[in-house]
Amino acid sequence: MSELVAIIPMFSISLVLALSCYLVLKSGEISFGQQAFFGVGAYAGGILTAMFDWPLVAALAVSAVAAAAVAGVIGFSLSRISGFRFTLMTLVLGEFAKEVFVKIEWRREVNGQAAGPEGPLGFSGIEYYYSHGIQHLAQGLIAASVAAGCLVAVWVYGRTGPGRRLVAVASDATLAASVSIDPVRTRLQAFAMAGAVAGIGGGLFAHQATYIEAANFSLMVGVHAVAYTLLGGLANVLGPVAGTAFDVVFLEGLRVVGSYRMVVFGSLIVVMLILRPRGLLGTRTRTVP
Amino acid sequence: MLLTAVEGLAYGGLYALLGLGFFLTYGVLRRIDLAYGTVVMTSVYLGAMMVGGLGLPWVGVLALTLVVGIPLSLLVAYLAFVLVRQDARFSMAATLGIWMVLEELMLQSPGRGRGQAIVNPLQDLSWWPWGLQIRIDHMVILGLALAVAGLLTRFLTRSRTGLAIRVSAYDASVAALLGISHARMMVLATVIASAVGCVAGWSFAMAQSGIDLHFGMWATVKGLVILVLGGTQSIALIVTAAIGLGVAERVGSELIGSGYRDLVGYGLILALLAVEPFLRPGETRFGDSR
Amino acid sequence: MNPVLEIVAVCKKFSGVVALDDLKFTIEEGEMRGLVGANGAGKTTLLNVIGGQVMADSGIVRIAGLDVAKFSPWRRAGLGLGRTFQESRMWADLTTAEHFGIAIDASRRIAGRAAPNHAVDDICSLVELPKVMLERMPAQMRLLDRRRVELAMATLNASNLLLIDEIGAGLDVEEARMLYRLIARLIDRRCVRAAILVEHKLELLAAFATGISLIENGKASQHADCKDAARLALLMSSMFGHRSDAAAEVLQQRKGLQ
Repeated sequence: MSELVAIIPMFSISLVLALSCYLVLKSGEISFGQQAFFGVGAYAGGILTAMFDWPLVAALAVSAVAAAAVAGVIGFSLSRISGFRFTLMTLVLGEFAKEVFVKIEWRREVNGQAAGPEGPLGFSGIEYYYSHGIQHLAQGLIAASVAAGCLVAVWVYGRTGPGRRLVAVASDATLAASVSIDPVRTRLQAFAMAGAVAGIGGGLFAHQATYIEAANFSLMVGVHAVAYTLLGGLANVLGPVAGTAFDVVFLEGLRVVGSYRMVVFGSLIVVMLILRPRGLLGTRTRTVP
Repeated sequence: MLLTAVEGLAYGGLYALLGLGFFLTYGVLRRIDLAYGTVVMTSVYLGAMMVGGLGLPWVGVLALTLVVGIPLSLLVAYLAFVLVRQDARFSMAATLGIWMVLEELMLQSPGRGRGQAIVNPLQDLSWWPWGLQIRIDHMVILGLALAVAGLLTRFLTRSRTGLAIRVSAYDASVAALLGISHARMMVLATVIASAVGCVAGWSFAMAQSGIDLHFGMWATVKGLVILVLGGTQSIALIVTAAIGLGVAERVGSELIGSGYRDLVGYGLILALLAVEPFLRPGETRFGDSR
Repeated sequence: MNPVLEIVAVCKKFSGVVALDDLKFTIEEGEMRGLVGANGAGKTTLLNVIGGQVMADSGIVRIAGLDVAKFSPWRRAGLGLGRTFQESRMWADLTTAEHFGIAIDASRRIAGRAAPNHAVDDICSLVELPKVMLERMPAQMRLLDRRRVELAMATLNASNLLLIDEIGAGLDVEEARMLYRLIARLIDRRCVRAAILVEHKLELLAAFATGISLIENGKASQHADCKDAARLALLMSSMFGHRSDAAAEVLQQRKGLQ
């Protein structure tokens, strides 16, 4: 039981990042740079609670807005490119963001102690949970409810106008434009939303980990999140849930494969793509009469 | 400053070799292999480890790199591009799975992911024209890049095999009509691309006197960027773009400070990629043929 | 009243090769204009330049009096331009009902309240689409029904002009004729003001179009009213070269088909 409680925050945070990748994948592109927005959210949220004593909810909201803003700016260009160029740009963005995080240095006196990110030394002392007496169970509850909120938001998005238009644009942008859908704007909205979701995940992560550094936002993190979604499938929001659960609960939680977890996980992705490219849950069946 | 620019030329040479490898995989084979740099890194890494363990001479590293690298590339190509074939994006994702596996295996190898030393036979050899210190090994990299570029151009445009590879990549059925074996041509092109990558990886690791795990993804990103900047039309453009980027990165980080080297490098590339879609006027980008 | 479409001095080159050369072209209210010409003469390029899928190098493209030459395709669509494509195009993962939902939603967004308040029922009856098709995916439908859906989607957006590129391709003559009858009806009922049709089967155009334009070397070289048999024969004979007997045959068929 206590092991399960220990897993909940990690699972929730991974799920939120996977949802962000799911949104981008729904636009027909693969982003290996969502960890950048995750990092923006983590630093923004951490700075607000640790340096300025903000309440957690407000800090998470700013995490979302900050990450969405960055995604919106990048998206201005990103929403106009597709395929391999898109993926390459997100890859470079991720690496660039990591270099930027190393350089973030901002110290401030809080209650007689210096707080804030220290460049290459990382950002320690994001101890909101500790200083507010929030215990493990409560932490899990917070993470789980935020993840559930994101899940619902992404689900609603998919069922309403913008989400529908996104699927149309991803499937055939020329056809979408011919019925007066603006493909660039539709994609930009999706990227901004994906950024916001990743930002919230990052904010959660910073408070859960209490210490963050650039290495937390490496390409490996982004690739995992994409892989969760690909494993689970793109049919609906349950895909990322299934994929995340598989890795976090089985491979990491149960420690079945020990230190070879990444080897197993990587091979699994390849095997899945060979055998069931539409993911564990599959997508809507397309049968030819 | 001039010295930095010359050093940039060596990086340019490395980028050119990587770019050529990607030119072959993407420009000719239409494949996006995100494990390319990691395969090269793994081969050089294993080569260095074995040579270090067995006490072989420095040429051994290159030989072992090729011995490991070429079969490994073929394996990657088979897994990610022959077995996964529904969608190019899925193939790309599969190469990232392979990247994950290889990098993790290197972490679990006897080397434990630590940097491996490589003997540099040209260490400390320099040439002093006009009072500038120019490292011979840097010039060797540049020379290698130009030589490989020249040979590849000749091979692809003049030789029958090169032509057959291009036809085969363009349309497998046309190739079959002409009596060209598609599978064999793809294997050949993969082998060449891999060999070029191995030479690039080895020469660079040698100039740095060692190799570590970061080289893999770093090389992949740089190679892809060169491909985007140089396009897939001509080898000369690839080499020009590579040398241009190499020099710009070095000079840029010299101006801003060496602590910002990677920041400047990635920032520059990001800016170029971001601006690029706005430089192609007139064409509607979306949905041409997806 | 402005013409539905007015094209003045439009030029387009594809990497040096001239596709459209100082083209002039006008479509009036109520017209159903057929475009004919050899392969590569520039028919589809002309549709693309009107629809915005290809941007003209120079020249003016006016829709209902407004120059849209620099507009992106979705803005032109918002001004009442509908388009079907040479190859059948639908969104692979969406049902027919979802297609209509997205198209209606998009046209309302751009035109606000001015957009016609279509219901899915209206659309189905407009193009005689059986109701059971609503829950089908594109892969589960035969080509004729897919074409009906495409036509309906284009019409939802097109208060001004429909651009139809070989809608009969891959269908037999009877099915193609059915679609042309639908298009003619859409114009009759003022669902759209006019239509341009690219079609290889001359007899279909002769039967349903109000006029035919011959596209040659990137120019609209000849126009003929379909009521003007002499002009029509002249246009066809210049298209077929010496084989004017073929033209006569087509004219004969026209009477039969109507």
